[in-house]
Amino acid sequence: MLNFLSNVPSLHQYFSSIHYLPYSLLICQPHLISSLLCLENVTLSLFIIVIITIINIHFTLVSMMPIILLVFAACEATLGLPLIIIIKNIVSYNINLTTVVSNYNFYCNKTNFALHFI
Amino acid sequence: MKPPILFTILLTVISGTMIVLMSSHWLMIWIGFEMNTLAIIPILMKKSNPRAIEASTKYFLTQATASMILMMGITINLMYSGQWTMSKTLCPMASTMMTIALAMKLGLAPFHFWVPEVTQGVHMSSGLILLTWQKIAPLLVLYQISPTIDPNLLLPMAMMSVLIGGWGGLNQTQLRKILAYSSIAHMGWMATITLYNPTMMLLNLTIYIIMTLTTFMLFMHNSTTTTLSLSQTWNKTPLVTSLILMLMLSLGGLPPLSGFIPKWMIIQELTKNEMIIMPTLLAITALLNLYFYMRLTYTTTLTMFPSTNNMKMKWKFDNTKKMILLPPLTVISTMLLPITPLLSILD
Repeated sequence: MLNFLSNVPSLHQYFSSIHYLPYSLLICQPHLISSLLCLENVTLSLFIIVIITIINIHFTLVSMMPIILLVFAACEATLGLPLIIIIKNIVSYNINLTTVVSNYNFYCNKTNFALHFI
Repeated sequence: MKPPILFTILLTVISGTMIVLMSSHWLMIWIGFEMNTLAIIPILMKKSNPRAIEASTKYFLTQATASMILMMGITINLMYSGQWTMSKTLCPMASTMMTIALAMKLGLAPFHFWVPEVTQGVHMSSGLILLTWQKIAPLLVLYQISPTIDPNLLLPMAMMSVLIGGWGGLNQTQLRKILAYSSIAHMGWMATITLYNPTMMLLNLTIYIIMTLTTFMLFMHNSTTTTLSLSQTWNKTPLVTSLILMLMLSLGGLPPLSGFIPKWMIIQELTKNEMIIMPTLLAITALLNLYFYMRLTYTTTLTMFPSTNNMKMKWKFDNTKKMILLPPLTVISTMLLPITPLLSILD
């Protein structure tokens, strides 16, 4: 067992380009909702990393763990979204709720756009 | 907020911290932190003015980021050790990421920027929970991973915290911001000693929590949030005035009072480990803290600021705010020094 653990590949082999998305959290985004999206990026990357780690070290007994991670991270995102809605209501630009919701629906487009910053 | 809802939310906050304290599985610790963060946001938004919403959003963003970095550290630890148990042997990369995540949760410099703004934006009682209860969970996880923390990471953070806590508080008149910078400085002291003798960190935490609880309750008594309104307490409740004197001197760390105990013990432990520059710098920057505590004391206790009437005491209604255990807390925060050897029970 110990020999097998020493053969675990290094971290770099796991990281495809999707795992550089969380670094967009460091860039000051103009919209609060894009910060929330970056947070979800981080969650997604972490989910993939955990799954790959668990599969690679053949520790499939804890395969429930990424799902638990998703549960709590989804709760957190659900908490963040109303906060942003309240802020938008307070600031009261001429922005209606559909724009906010459609920003959230264009998830995939936003992440590709974020990749171009890097 | 209706009492049943407030009760449930407070119960979740308390059980979140309890889960962190009582777990040996890293995932449970992360879950405890998540429960804590999620449940305290409604408490921060008790008075839903725009300031409080902005403060809650800032708090939420920083704590969520810190939780994710903590989870990354946990995953790296899984990768290198193959197990989830909270143990004293972490690989260095995981230890670094966890230290950074916990520093973000605590408000250590350079991740301290949210502390004054969040503490100022929320109600006094929410700020109380923020500065006292929320520090327990991260510091106790730091206690458990302390053998593997890189000193080259934590000591500069602690030094920066003490400097920023001292200098940042100098220009403040808002009491909640003063207490926020005081919290940053005290976290710096606690982070320093975690590497060498974690028991002293628990000692510092205990005494800091008791002193900060008492301070907040005394400030809430007259609903004062600025130095100016605090300077009028001689007119309303003179007893609070004298208690603030003792408490501020204790927070500043002056010898016959119990605020001196952690500082003394920490400097003693650091010199036992043959560090000379660090405790000297810590002791000198504690003077900056003492300056703004003394300024509060000066305006409150030592001088009688002009007010609208000249009577010694105005008639007012009885106080309806919850001053839980205020007399015992005041006694403990000022008179604990003679029984310092008793505090070795924290070991």
